[in-house]
Amino acid sequence: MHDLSDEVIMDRVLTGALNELTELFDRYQSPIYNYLVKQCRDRELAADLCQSVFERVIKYRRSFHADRSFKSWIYQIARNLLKDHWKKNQALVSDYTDLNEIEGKMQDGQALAEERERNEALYEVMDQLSEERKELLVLSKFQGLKYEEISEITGMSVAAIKVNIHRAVKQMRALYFATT
Amino acid sequence: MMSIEEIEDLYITYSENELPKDKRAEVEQLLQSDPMVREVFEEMKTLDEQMVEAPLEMPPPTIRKAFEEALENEAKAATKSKSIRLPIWLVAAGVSLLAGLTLGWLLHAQLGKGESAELVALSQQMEEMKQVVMLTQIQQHSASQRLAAVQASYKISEPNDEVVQALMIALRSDPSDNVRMAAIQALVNLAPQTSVGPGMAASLTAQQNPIVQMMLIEMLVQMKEKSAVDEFTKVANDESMDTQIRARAQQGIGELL
Repeated sequence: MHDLSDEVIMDRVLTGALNELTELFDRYQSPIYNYLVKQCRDRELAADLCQSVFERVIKYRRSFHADRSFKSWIYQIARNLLKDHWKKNQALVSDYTDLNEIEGKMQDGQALAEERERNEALYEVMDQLSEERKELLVLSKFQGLKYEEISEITGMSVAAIKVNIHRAVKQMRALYFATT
Repeated sequence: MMSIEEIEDLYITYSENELPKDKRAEVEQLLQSDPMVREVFEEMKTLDEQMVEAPLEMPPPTIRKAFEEALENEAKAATKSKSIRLPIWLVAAGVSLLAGLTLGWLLHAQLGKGESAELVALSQQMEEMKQVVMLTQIQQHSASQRLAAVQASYKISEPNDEVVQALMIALRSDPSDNVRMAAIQALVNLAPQTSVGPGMAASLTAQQNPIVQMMLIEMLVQMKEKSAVDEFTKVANDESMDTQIRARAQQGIGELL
């Protein structure tokens, strides 16, 4: 089972082996949760949304088409849920900073605390980017997706993605090194 | 002298391995000789590494628990719908009923025209009574009563216009998702004898719940209801709607055309 591609597993799921969705859950639980955490910077919300992503995978499994990539499909579901959430809740509340600070003070040694601080500075700078650029950066740099995969998820052309990511990185450098 | 932006661009093409060999050598030389290039490259590299190596957060165990529960429920639902087995007593009753009906038919064949007309009238009365009960019940306040009314319509062999109309109203505007889904099923059952398709298609954009929307799209496709193409197009183009629903509507257009 571990050697099978996502799409082959989905094919088996669609022909009755529903339990094999567990393998896909194991593969994507962490990436999807981390994508959502980076995007919304609210762990509780990310957990709720991540849960909904997999519930949708189960419920709408028949709308998956074998000619598509499962990875793009599941990211698309996560992205849509996040967008729907933002649309419904215009005022965003984040517990991320507070949690980091508390955990940092309570548990970390010096080196870990410094790393946390650096990451926090990075995320704060990211928050100053436009939603579109931030999302592309999260998908490309943090999630390690290829431009082609991002194109399938977002519907943007590879060229436009490339240009936007490059601009985002340049903007990040200017902001990040001005603050650190 | 290169501008900062030019150096940044150079870093991007260099780090993405898009430079030919000789150009890469030039950049490496530049890195040795130009402190500004070196500084910008180092900053860009630090930023890149920090993003790529950002620590992953551990998902909370509640996600797995919820997934396992959802999967179990789905598996149960799938098994239920696959294997509806009739109890033996019901099979026996069915056999007796069939025998009785056969006997009745034989006797009926022996009877005169008068008795036959009486039977037809009686059957018609029963049918009308079922329709009246259904129409009364569908207006009740309780969702479970309305649901029972919609389900009762499954047993009406020749529903009149009022029943069809009541089911259409339930589909369009009943506050309960379950009643609306039962109405879809009831209307699908009626589809071969009445032209309910266009009305069902027209109700698509009035639906709010994605599950009801998805069920409606699936049924309209199964019914090969060509008049649904316009409604599917509206859904497919409506950015406020769920992407999965929009994709299914788009696919549905292809299946209907």
